[in-house]
Amino acid sequence: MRRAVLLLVVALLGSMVVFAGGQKPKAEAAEVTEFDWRNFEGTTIRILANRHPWTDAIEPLLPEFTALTGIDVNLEVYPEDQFRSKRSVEMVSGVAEIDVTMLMPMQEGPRWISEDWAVPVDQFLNDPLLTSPEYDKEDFLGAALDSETSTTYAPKGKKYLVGIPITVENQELMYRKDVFEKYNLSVPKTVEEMYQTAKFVNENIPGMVGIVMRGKGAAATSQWSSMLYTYGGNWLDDNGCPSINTPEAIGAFEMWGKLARDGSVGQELVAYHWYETTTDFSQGRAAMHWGPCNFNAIYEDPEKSKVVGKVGYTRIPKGPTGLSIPYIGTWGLSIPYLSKNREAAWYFIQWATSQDIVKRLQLEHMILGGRKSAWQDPQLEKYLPKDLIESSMASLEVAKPFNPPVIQISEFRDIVGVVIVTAIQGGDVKAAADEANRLVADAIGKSGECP
Amino acid sequence: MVERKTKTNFSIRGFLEKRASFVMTAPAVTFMTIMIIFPIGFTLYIMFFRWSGGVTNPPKFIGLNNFLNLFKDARFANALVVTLYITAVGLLLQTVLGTAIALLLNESFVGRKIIRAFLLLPMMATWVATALVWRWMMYPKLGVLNFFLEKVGLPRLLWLSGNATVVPSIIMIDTWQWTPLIIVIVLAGLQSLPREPYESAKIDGAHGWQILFRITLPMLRPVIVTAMVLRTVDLIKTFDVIMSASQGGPRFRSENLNIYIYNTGLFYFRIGYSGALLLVYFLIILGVTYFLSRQRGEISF
Repeated sequence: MRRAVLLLVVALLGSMVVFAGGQKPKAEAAEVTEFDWRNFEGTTIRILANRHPWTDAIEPLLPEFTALTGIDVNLEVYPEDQFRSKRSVEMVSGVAEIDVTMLMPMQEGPRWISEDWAVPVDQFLNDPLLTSPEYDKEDFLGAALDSETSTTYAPKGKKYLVGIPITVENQELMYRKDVFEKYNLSVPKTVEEMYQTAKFVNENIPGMVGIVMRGKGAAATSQWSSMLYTYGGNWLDDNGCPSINTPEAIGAFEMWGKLARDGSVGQELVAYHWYETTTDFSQGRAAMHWGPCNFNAIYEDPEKSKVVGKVGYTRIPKGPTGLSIPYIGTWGLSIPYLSKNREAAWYFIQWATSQDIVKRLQLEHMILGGRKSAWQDPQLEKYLPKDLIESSMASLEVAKPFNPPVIQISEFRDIVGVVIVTAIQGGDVKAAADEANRLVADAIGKSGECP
Repeated sequence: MVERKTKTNFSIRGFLEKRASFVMTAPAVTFMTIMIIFPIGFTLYIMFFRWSGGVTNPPKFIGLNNFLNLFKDARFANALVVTLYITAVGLLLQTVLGTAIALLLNESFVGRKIIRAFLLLPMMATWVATALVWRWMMYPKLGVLNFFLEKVGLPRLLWLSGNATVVPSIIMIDTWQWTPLIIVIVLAGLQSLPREPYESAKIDGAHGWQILFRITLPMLRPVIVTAMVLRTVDLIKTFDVIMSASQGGPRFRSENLNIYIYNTGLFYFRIGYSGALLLVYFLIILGVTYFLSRQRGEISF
């Protein structure tokens, strides 16, 4: 008996010390003279991905990549929270080998850039030995590529591409075509018109509010960012100091509050996240929705929506300065500095963002990609409304990332969320914005340098 | 050449038999060191640094600055007030309600066992799930609570979305969920009370309220205080209800210390500052627990 226990202990201790080390085949360092998909045959790459429609759509296509290149793929998929924390741990510890990772540049970019975690992909993109002549890099939508550019987040740093975009979303104004027709309303061209229209609906159409958008503090900041840009404001000024108490920013806050109180559900908007806005709009309780373009999937689904075929899509209206700058959200593929198979990793990114794959994902799975050719394909009109395609394409040339370009995004958003709630509740926006600006300067470590 | 043989009779078995106590505890000790002692030690160390958790920007020593910043931090002051608010009101409500219900359930009536079982249900349910259900019920527009308020002619409330109503709403959820714990503890205490004092009281002609306030409650005091200590620590630490129901909003009106520390450490990348906050938080819990435990020690029968 005693012997058995001791053996068990030895076995346990043994298993703690010994763990299998993975063998990794390396590509032969042969002389490469021209681009060839099979140059890195025999390599195995490890990909870390978020559980996302893109991942579900690309997974069945992986054998095609292996057949084309001879590169084996280990795809590891985790739900978004675990995905982010697992990757953070691996990056900080510096021991794991990740060859390709999904990355949301407006969320993680500032940190990745300040830590130098991303291998600049331009070096591969511009190398004719590593990039197929058929890979048309001019085909990417302007804002999609901008959102993957380091200087978008760190204007004074080195300029390089953090990754290549795989999915995009942008801000749209969605409206009920039937309601607008019945009450003889015209599609608003300016924010002021949008406010008047929303107010009219609130006052004249029973059981319906003018507009819904997010109001729940920090969660609302991404949707509010389009209003900020459209008013000519921005998160930071040229010196990197927070600028959320400028007249432009205050105008954007005030407009959010006015819309909430006079043209929407009032103070209850403070409870509104994406779920509440889409529920109201899809159940016919709102005439307009200030939201992301991909909610069209909900609105055109007869099982979830009472407004199928009744929704019009348009660019967000112009602000007082004549600008209409929606936000863009992007997922991309990046190569972490930990990768020992960078070229093979680039081959995967190149394949996954090639015209052919992007077009197939967009047409077969409604994964909205970053390539113009996929958006311009006439087949797309079978699946997406024409006005959505047109307004999205135009938006995706000028859009800006939805987050402030700082590492302390969460804190920045929490602080700005307070001003948004104050505006909805009809409080003193100027005082709240001044206070928020001071707190943000403190949070991003600029309290000494900023006014 | 003569081969020298090792004279020590070393064998793994011999070693294991002699040092069994070390070997057997090694996994637990290793686990404790990695999972408990190291994190605590690291927190005590990092609280004197400014560090954003990065590799290229290593921790920078700033002495006591993290602690000095506490006094200037309005969100910390707010979190302290919210923590006190939730703890004080929650504790009062749960103790009074719990003791009252336990006293009722101690009487014999038809269906007592079924009602006892039903009253324990909230405690059994999954915390996050119940908080989410409460969030739906408190939803201003379509929530069932506002529906009932309107039915009886009262104005609708903003519940979790109102500056003034959010903390009461959270206390309401917590009370619904955790009063049963106090009921269970007090009920167990009631059933172990000696019978003699009651008999003497009856002989002396004491009536119901006198028995309750002069005999039952004083004798129950150690039990009630024990239940209060348990609830106090949990109330100071309230996390899951707030996280699922309001995330600390609106305008940080429901952000208690636990939520604030969670944000600063994990999302704001202020690792050093959150270490300082944790120490203060730890001292508060220690102080309150010590104070309450002393209350209990003074009583004996």
